[in-house]
Amino acid sequence: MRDVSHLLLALTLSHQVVAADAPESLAGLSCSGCHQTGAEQLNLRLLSAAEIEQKLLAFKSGEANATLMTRIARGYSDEELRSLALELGGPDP
Amino acid sequence: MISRRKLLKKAGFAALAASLGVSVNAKTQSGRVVIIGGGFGGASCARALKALSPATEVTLIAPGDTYYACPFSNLVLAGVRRLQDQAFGYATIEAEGILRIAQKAVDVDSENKRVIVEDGTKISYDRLIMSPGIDLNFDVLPGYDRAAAALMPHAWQAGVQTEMLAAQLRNMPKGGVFAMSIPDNPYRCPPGPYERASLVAHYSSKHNPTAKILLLDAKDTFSKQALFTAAWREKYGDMIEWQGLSQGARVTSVNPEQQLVQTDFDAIKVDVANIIPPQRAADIAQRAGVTNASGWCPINAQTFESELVANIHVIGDATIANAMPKSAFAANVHAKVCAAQVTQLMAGEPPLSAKLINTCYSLVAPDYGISVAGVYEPEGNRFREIAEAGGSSPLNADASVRQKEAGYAHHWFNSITAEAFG
Repeated sequence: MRDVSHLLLALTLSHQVVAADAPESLAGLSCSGCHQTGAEQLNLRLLSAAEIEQKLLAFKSGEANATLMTRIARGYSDEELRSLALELGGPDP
Repeated sequence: MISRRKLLKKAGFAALAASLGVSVNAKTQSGRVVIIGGGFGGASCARALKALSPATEVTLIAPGDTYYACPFSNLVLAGVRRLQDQAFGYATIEAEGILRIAQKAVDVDSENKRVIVEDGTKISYDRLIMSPGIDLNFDVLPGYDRAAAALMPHAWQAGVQTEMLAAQLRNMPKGGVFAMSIPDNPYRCPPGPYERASLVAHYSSKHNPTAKILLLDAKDTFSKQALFTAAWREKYGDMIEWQGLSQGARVTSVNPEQQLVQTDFDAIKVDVANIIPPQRAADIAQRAGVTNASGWCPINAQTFESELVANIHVIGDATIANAMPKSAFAANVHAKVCAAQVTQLMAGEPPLSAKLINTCYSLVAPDYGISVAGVYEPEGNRFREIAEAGGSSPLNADASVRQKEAGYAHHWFNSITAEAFG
């Protein structure tokens, strides 16, 4: 669903539109210091956006356990977490 | 137009940059951006900017070929890490089309938008990004000047100073006193002194078990205090003694020849004196006119543009913007956000929004990690800490959690240095 929506977005916007093909946010920049290398959950490029969103929401609610991410995820609205996941997710598996 | 997600599927730092909400106009914008400082902030910023906006001419002014990272340098003191593992260079940065000038920036002529380097060369900019870090304030603690720092090392800028302090610790007499003078806020790496005390204790418990570590603090509370205090007792018994401002522990002068440390209360003869003096934004920031009476640089927290001088942005430890601490993590985040905002501004586009994260890991022992984190939102000239988020590791956690966090601390170091230096 994510890819379809994005494809639609890309088609709609085409090339004459600027600054609109992405969320107007730089929030994902805070994540790459820890999450650009390594294996498993530490390398966000190995996870899809849907997987990241699910994890972030679970960290926020306390449903999932983590040493640090529970403390971070509480700083964002659900919409912000979704947008972050779209920014950061890797290719679909 | 290549879609954002297609670009995102490429690997590497450029992919991250490409995934941002920065406009296409901004990405094809040409212009000259000069960056001062080759630490976590400057290096990260140069790479982010080039990745975001390949047409921009990016110049990085960073003297020397080696940067020694401060995070993890306390492990070098503890004898469990080599100084060379802290060394990073600029080869990747240079290979990415960033012009590096291996000289010190000595002045900034903001009127004519030029930076002057040691040999007199003037480098013009459209926008200047300063990540100059700190200078130790050698004017405020009587007896502690540059010469004194060779006898009573600060080791608050990694490299030679780290080695000096490590050698003093190795040579300390059995049962000797290792004293540390800790400044009042704000200073680089708020939990750093307490991590250092921990790792000096780790070393001493193995090699000098009757040694004493005396912390003389100019404040009454400190970062992760409850966690540190409990862990010290658990791991090191009464080896570490902390005294705060109310106990008269603030260091008021030193005598390096006699190894004497004078506090509000007492004159103490010590075997090793690790004096961490008060700090301010590095000299070049003052030359540029971007510091205020505090000695630090006030900024617009969204764009990092100086509140005092137009077209100059300041990032990292040199900034003062309320809640966000001075850390390598923060400098790296500032760097990437600032790069994106500068790209927008140079294209005549509005700055974008961003919440920022900071995380600081500290090692109480090589296998015992604790952390503090915060999420921040820019609000005018300050960062507002989001109350619902952040905080320290839990006080009651078993050894496996501490071990996990120690592992994550290592992962963070490897990840952030890869992002900053390649």
